[in-house]
Amino acid sequence: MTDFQRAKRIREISFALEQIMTGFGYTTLEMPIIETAELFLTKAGDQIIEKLFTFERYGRQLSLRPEFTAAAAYHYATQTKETVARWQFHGAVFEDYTQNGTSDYQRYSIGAELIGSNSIAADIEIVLLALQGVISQNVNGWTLKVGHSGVIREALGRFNIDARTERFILTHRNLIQDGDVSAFRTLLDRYLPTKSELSLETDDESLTQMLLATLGNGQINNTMGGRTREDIATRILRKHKQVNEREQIDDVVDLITQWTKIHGQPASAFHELKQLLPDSTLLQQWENIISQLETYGIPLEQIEIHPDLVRNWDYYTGIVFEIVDREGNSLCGGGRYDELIGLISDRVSVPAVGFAYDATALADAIKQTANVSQRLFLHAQNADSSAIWQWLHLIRQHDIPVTLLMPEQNIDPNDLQLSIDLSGRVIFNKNSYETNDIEKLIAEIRKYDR
Amino acid sequence: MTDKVTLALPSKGAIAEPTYNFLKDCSLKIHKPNERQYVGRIPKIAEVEVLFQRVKDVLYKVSDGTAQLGITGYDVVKENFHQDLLVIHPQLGYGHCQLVVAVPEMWADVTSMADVLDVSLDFREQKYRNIRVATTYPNMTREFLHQNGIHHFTIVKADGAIEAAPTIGYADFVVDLTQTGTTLRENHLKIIGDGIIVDSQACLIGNKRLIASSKTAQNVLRTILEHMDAAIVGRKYMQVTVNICGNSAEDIGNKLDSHDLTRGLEGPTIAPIYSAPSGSSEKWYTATLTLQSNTMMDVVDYLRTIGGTQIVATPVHSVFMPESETYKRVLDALR
Repeated sequence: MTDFQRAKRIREISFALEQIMTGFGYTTLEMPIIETAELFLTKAGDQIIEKLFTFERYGRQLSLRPEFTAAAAYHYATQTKETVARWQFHGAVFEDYTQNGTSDYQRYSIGAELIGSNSIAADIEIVLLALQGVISQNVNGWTLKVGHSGVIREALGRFNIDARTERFILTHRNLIQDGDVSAFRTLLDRYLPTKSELSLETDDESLTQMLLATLGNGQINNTMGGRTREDIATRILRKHKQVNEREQIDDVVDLITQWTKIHGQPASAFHELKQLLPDSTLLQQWENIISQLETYGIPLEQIEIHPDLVRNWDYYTGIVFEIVDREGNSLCGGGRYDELIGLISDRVSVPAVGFAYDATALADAIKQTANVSQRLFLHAQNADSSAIWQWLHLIRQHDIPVTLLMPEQNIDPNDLQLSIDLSGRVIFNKNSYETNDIEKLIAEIRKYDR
Repeated sequence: MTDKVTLALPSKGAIAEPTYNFLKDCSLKIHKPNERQYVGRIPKIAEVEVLFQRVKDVLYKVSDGTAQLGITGYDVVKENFHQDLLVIHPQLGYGHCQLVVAVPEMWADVTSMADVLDVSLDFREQKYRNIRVATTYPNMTREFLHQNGIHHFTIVKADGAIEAAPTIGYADFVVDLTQTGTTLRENHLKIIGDGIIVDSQACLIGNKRLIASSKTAQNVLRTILEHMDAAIVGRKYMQVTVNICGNSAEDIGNKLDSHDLTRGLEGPTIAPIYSAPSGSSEKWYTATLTLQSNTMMDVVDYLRTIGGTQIVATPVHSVFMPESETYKRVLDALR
């Protein structure tokens, strides 16, 4: 497929998906192509800076948009009065996808966001909407992979470990998964305090007071570098508590090891997860979401449960999903991100869930059996003949697309052709038509489903 | 007409004067017609034209090909690396400083980069904003923070008085150059133990493309490097002359050669001393050696044990080895 053919297909996909999303109640929003870079960096972290196309203007660092979600969240936080917003987005996104020496700077993305609802109905709707788009495009052999970032967090919560330690463990779980537990422990040793300079018997309140008093000695300000003495005291206390967490790390590593091994069809995966995490309310919710997808007609055999699907623990807060084609190429990804709006605005956290298609990947995955459309050409061999322009006008008046065929132009054998004889009549399929036979000609052309 | 080779040198800043002194020590004295001019020359190498620029501009001029060679700070090179740049000599031995992460002294809980990571997440979760770091080195800062798992931060670019940023309030911590740490301490900042981003000193850089394509540039570079290498090696040595009483020059030679400390570069030069007849049958010789200066006291002690006295130690200006190792490396890199 050439770039032009792909671009044409993407436009068709975009149009078709817009109709589907509109049918689900999603309004199309046009988002700015240029935004402040900070908006995207706040969402994804500074590690994406090298992929962003940034530039400075009047002292502000600006960026071409790499996606739609951050701008949508900001738009919701600052400009909308709706409680629940359903938005869809279509357009080019810009990121440096350089891989193995080949560069790709622009892709077409189609996305949807449902902002303002914490209900699992919102999760279900978003997953269904994403699936509906893929199904409507006749993608063969797609698979829906579903994970959940909340379930494992809930499970780790039982160990009473600090949220920061939990984040550290989840971020570095790949080492445990790869069986390199010693590398994991080496990293952990750098992170977790090994001893406390404070008395372990001291209660939290008196310890905080002691720390505040200590930190106050000789200091000129109560705040320095954006942190108050209380911030510092609280963190010292937290580090103090983390000393005790080492005792539980073996159990945590054991849980993560088992958890990362689970994946497969919903029935078997949920069975294993329930054995590992009995009484998990979020696990029940997750299973319920999958069950509702089945009710809607999504075949369970095309759903896989991947508890370890989450890549960015700083971003996703609940369900996470990805749709892949038969070859495993990602067509679409999304999930719940309840903390983003709080981070990029002054508003408290707002629940949100959304997804985006990679329209380029989707265009490549669509079945190649689709009919190649037949184009209609009118030969321009007598370009000075007024009959040419008269016929073009007449045909186009009937909403039939027709292209003037230049003498130098090659066309596909499947394309339809009109020519004009010396008397100014149109020849089509060996029949000739006068201008007052236009209706007959149109009817004949329309017999071809183009 | 002979091709000119432009050598860009710092016109001001901490390494400007030390650079002129270093070149002088390398027998490559700079001639600057007057303080206000931006060009000068090295009388010893006729093809060289010296261009005086700010340290950052030295790098830019070499990168864009205005100059073939330049001396600037290694920190500047690391921050603004360009594909045409070649670091010819990374350690000229002066202008030492470090680029470090420094946080407010008041942050008693922060002693490592793991702590900075933890605090950056506190900012995100509790203050709903990124932690801010003030620096004039955004590229190295970014890379270093990423290496330490810190991904949620905002870089506040500033040109001066970085140390004051946390006090004034426009940043939470800093990444700044320091030589002794005094300025940081005076601004109530402390250096994080594992927060040293780069150890920097003055370095010689060149434009790969221009050097590879010009014989003149290569010849000039060889001359400069021969002198620099000789001067840098020379700093490590002292020339020692010692009078020793012994049976023969061979006997003394054996004693000196048998000890690692007094073997010298290729062994001693020994000559008899002419003495007026005094009735003594002792024979005196003088030995000349080139020895490592950091072992001088041990050398003196050993020389005394073998009858040495009146030991004269003088600094060595230059030691020219069989070839310039640095120039050899440059040629390898250009191939």
